[in-house]
Amino acid sequence: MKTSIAKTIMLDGSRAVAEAVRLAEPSLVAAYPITPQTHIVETLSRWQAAGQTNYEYVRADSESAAAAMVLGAAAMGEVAYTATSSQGLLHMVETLYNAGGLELPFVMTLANRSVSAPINIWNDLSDAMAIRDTGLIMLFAESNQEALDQHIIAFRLAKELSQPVVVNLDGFLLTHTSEAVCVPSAKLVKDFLQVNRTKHNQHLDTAHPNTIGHLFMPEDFQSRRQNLQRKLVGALPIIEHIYQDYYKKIDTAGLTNYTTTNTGHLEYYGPQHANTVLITLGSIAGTIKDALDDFNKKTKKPVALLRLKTLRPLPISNLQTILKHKKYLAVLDRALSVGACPPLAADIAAALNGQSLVSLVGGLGGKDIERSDISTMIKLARAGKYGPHFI
Amino acid sequence: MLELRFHGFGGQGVVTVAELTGLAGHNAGIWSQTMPYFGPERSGTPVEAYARFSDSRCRSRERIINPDWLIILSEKLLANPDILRGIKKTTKLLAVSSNEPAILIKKYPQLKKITAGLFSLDADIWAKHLGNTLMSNTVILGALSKLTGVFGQANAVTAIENKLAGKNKTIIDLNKQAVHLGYENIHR
Repeated sequence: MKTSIAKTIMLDGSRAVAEAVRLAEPSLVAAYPITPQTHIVETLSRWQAAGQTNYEYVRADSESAAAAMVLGAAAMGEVAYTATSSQGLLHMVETLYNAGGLELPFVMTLANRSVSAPINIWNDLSDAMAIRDTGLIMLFAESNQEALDQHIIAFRLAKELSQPVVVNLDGFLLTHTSEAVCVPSAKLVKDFLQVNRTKHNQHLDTAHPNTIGHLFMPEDFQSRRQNLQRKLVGALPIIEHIYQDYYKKIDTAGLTNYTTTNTGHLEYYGPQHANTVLITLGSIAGTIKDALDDFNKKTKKPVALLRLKTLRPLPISNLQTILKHKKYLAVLDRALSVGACPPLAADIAAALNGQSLVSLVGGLGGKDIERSDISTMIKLARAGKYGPHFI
Repeated sequence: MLELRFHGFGGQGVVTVAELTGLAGHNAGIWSQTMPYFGPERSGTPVEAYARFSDSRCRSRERIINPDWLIILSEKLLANPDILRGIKKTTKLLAVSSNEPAILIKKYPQLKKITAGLFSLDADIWAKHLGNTLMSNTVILGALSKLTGVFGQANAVTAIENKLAGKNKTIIDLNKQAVHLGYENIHR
């Protein structure tokens, strides 16, 4: 079904995210402003000050404090939300490891921005890649519509899985870009989010005093971490189910074309028989899609795109199924693991059991990736030399 | 696909005028996308903004490289070769200036490269006439409703109502007049 333009309004990514958060009705929003995330929390703060919402809003004294507040609220069994970017995220990291390990659910927006030095406020995925190992579920949006959808999905995921969820949207490229977005009705969202919260014996409750986050001895620690690993991998079918439920119940689906090659974990775009696949995350997929439509018109050897929507947990078997017989693979990272293989390329290479791929790096610190760069990427993919190649 | 690139200085409303064209395009039933490109975050530095209009969703997120229209919000920028990067034979240009296009070509010889159409608009004077120079943005929006063919004057007026929802009626009415003045006062 094609959603008509009449059902949409023009929203920038920040406002689309704020709308989703308002609809999800958290009881606490705690944040500290940082570019390019600021417009999100400014909007949420303004609505709260005008009495249009029911959440508590706390302008924390740092990102570290904001993360501690949402962790604390989650420990009390409350629905909490925060948002950050870049250096702000790095201030949160210690607490995020705790939230992941303690399985305390909240939703966080990460408006992706480079990390200093050199200082730069523009977009790349360096910040996101710094929290891959925290135990947070990590979703990545391509458009403002998907950013809105994924936030509502994230509130349900957090609740159902009892695990923190971070939704990534590209700074400026989405946060500051206005485009047509369909905002679902409050009733539909309420129905979708109406699930029984996992009974969690870790809630702090004065009637039943207990301790969370106590010391784990060497004989217990590893098995606890092993359980967390199992839990995250086991979350994949639940994530898929929740996406399907979202697009069944909430009518923004026409915009995202939900099909077997467009699942909760990933989207495959292009002819099934394409022997070359570009693999990436986030909003750059839009530019690649336009470029591939042009490219594939003029060639007998078409190219496809694989965009991951879920990076943690990594949908390994899905990746293997789709990519198994592909001859040429190139992974476009917008971040570095300085001195080693770029992070997404490393993940994909490990998932594919030795199937060879080419590593590309582009878009660092807001460097524009143009449609014309895509043909360079295809040439490099087909030349088969590992790289990393800087676009 | 029609692509507009706006050039101006921080504080002039470059981003706002681009956003308004996006709202107007959306009101006309066209898939629209608008996007700013900021320099360092302070007033007075060069700012660019982009607007795309298409029959289907605008998915590309690259900056606009080969614009169909250049909208230059300050005459000072007309001497800067950077504003003309990526122009095509069909690229047209609207400059905010009190000078007619023929005079602008004499003052800024690089404008000879724009052969498809050169237009000017004294947006600041019309805005001052209405009592607030900030309204030059909506004067420009009015001119673009006539020039680009993407949206009409009525769509531009609705865009003003969208953008200024909640503001007092006098301000909204003045901005509507600004759209009309822009529509009527383009120099060719």
